Amino acid sequence: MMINVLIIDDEKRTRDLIAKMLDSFDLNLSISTEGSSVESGIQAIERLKPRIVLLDIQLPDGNGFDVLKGVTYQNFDVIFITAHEEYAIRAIKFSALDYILKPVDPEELNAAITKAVATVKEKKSPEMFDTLQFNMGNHTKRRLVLKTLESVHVVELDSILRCEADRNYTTFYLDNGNKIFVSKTLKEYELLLANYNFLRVQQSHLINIDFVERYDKTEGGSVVMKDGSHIPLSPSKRDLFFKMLETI
Amino acid sequence: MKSLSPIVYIAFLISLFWGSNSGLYAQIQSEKELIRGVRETKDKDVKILRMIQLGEFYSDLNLKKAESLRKRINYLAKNEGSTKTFEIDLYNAKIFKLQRNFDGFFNRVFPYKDKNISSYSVEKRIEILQNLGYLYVLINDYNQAKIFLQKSLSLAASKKIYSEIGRSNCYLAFNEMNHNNKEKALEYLELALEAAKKTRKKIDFAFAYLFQSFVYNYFGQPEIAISKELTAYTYAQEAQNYSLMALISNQIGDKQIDIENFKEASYYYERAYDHSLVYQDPLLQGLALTSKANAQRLMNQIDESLSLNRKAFQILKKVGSSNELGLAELHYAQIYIDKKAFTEALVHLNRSLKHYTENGDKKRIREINFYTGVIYKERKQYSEALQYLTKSIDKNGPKSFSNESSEVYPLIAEIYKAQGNNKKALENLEKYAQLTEKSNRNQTSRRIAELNELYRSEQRDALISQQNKILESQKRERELTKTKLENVSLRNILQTYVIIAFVIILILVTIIGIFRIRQAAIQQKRREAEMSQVLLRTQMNPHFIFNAMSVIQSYIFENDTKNSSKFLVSFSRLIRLILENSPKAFINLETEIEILQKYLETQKHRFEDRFDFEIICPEALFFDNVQIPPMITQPFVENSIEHGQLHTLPDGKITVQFSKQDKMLHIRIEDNGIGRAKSEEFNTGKGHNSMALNITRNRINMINEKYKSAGSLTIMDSDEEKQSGTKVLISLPYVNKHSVTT
Repeated sequence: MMINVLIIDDEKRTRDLIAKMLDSFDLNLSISTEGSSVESGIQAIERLKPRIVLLDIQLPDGNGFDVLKGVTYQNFDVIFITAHEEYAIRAIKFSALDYILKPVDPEELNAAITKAVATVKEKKSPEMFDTLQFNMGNHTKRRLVLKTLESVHVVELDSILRCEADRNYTTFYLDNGNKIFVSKTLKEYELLLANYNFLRVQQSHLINIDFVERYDKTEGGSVVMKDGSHIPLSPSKRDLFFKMLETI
Repeated sequence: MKSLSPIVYIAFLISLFWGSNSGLYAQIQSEKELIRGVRETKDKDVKILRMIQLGEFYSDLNLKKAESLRKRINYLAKNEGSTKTFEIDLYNAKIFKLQRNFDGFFNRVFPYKDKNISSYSVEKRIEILQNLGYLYVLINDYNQAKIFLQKSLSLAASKKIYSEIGRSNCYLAFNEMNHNNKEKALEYLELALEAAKKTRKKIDFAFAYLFQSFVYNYFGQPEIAISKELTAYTYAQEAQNYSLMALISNQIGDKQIDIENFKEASYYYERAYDHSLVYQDPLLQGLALTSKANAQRLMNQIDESLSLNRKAFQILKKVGSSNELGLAELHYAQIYIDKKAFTEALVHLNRSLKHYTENGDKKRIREINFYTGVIYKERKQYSEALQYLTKSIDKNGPKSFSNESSEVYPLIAEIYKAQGNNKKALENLEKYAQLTEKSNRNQTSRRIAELNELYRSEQRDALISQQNKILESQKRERELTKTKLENVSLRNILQTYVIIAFVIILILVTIIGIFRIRQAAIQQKRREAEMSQVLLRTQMNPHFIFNAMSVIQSYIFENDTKNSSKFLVSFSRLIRLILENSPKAFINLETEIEILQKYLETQKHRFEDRFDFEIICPEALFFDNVQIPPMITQPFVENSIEHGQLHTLPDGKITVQFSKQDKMLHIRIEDNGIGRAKSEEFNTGKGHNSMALNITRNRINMINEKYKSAGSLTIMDSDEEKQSGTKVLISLPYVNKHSVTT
């Protein structure tokens, strides 16, 4: 079965380029390059019902998010294409969505498409688009999408107590006592959450500073969280930890 | 009661002079050798001479041994006869001098006054001449004394015997002192010090300083005297001369009594006693003990004083020196007066009077009369009291600035008052007032003289620094109390000045501080502004850069090597121009136009030539070398393309025009895009857009500030009716290469 891929970009040159690249992947794709703006993009999605949409963030009459907002058909994977938009990239990451950078690395594109093809049979989650919209909004709250094998969780950052690494997996401990097991490394989340009061106090522990109960000096010093868990504090992070405590 | 009488001084002096000759024997053999010399000699004359040698050696160390030798020599000479009578007489005189036995001294010396002594050795001749001179001093024959002493001096000078030069000068000084000639006395002592410097003998220095102390004390300057005594003491100590040390300690004790420092006095008397024990001089022992007894009495330790004075009296009785016995008796009397045992006191006063009458010490006699008067007054036997008190008044006035006579008058006044004779009482009180005033004045002038003297002697001799320290500390104390009073008024003035100065300094510091802070704030602001300028200027929209690269990628994918190379070169050129020029404040207009050109070409490539552009600039501006802030137009051109959506329109065009008008450089950027209103609706890339606008506004403001110009930025629609197209007007000061300020 052919997989429908739609490319939406305001530069014809880029659309042709990506189409050419996709052709070379030998993935049994049916490629269309119809969208060059928000308006034409929405029309193309509704009409073609693609399973994968490659979507430029900057469009002449708006941005890629406007396209997602505008469509009624939502059962597709989206891969954003962007030259530089930093603010957008962070929002995309929070929403566990994919993106590729211009100039496009064919291997990166291949990986993204392959991944999308592999999950293509699942029902797509509109929560991810909603989260993206939410995070793009002009407020300080942020939501994070955590995809597990069974489901997609959307959590507020200020409900995350801490994260614990287990090799290439990460367990999220939430303030309601729930645990979420995600197949991503703690390193990725550390980078993502660094600006949101999260600190990796030890090799396998990333904590939300807002949930620190106290600092326990015994046994080489550990951080006691509000749920009573004791998290060891690496000596190299001590100074940073106390500095961050002060700023709460 | 206070300072010792001249006669007592003389007694001391004699002992000192005796020590004088020790210099001559300084190099000679030790005691053992001397004793062996005496034992091994059979010839009686030689033996006697050797015994004298040994005796003289002892005279410095042990008076008892020296005395027993004197007796043996005399015994030997008497029994076996001797040709060495001259030497024997000299030795006797020496020991008598040390024992303050004036009669003995007189008998041994006086016969030589007319004798021809030229056959004797120079040293002996000098000694006898000195003795004769001193004898005449004792009997107050100034002229005779001077003749003999001058003779001894010239003899010593001719042989360059400096120790004897110094000693002769000391005698001469003493003679002058006795004749009330202070200046002359001090001159002689100056010469004595010079001589001591030649010999470098400690003992010679000690004598010279001690004599100075005598003179100063005699002329009523006890403070200088005490400093000289301390110096003399140090030299005596270094010379290990215990007789001298004992004597000086005793002297210092007397001074301490004068300044009512009884505890110190007691300490010095104690020291004098210790030294005299070593020297085995009972006279000095007794003197030290009775003096200490007096000090204790003055500290109200009456019982200890009495027992100590008893001990002193026992010692002195054996020696039988009337002078010291008189003193001990006087001390007894004073103790009993304090104990109100008037009968015993009167007995001791009578005995004391007997001793002092013997050697004619008028001052002591007056003192005894005074105390007798005091006792009769206490017993209310007023007529007797008056009789004695009147006797105690010194008719010639206080010779040595002593004010003790003044103490008599209030007592007499009290007696008259008790007898009901108020007129006489008043008379005496007036006398007292006069005297005390006089003595106060005397004291003041005395002190001034002392200070002057002190200053002069400081200059004269660096060796006396030690005693000066003591003196200075006393002086400082005095000045301190004196200046304390002055300071009260001075301090008030000073305080005012200090406050004024403080306020001025405070104001200055505040002004400087505020100025600095303000300056720093301004500089900081400017630096920050410039920094952000540089930073933001260099920041070409990265979005553009990556998109351009994407264009190159697409050429490559199409295998269009010609175009990809062309575009790459053009794009590289643009990046290089930006990197080179954006840090500068101003660049040539030509360069700016090139950047703009390259930028527009790149963008045109990206959008496949779907818009046009035109840059208009009169040649004259190039010719003028006009300067322009780098990339001031770029953000607006970018806006036109990205947000004006020129590439979506059929005939999109952008025009950039430079012109000069009213000494201003005008730039006009115009497009026929969708216009601001519509662009706003789409709300795309808002961040970068508005930021670029703000930066440009700031840049223009900074330039305005620098060049005092009225540059501006205006954005409007090209077609106001349709609200389409955008027109940006920038005006900047017209700056060329020569007028650019950095």
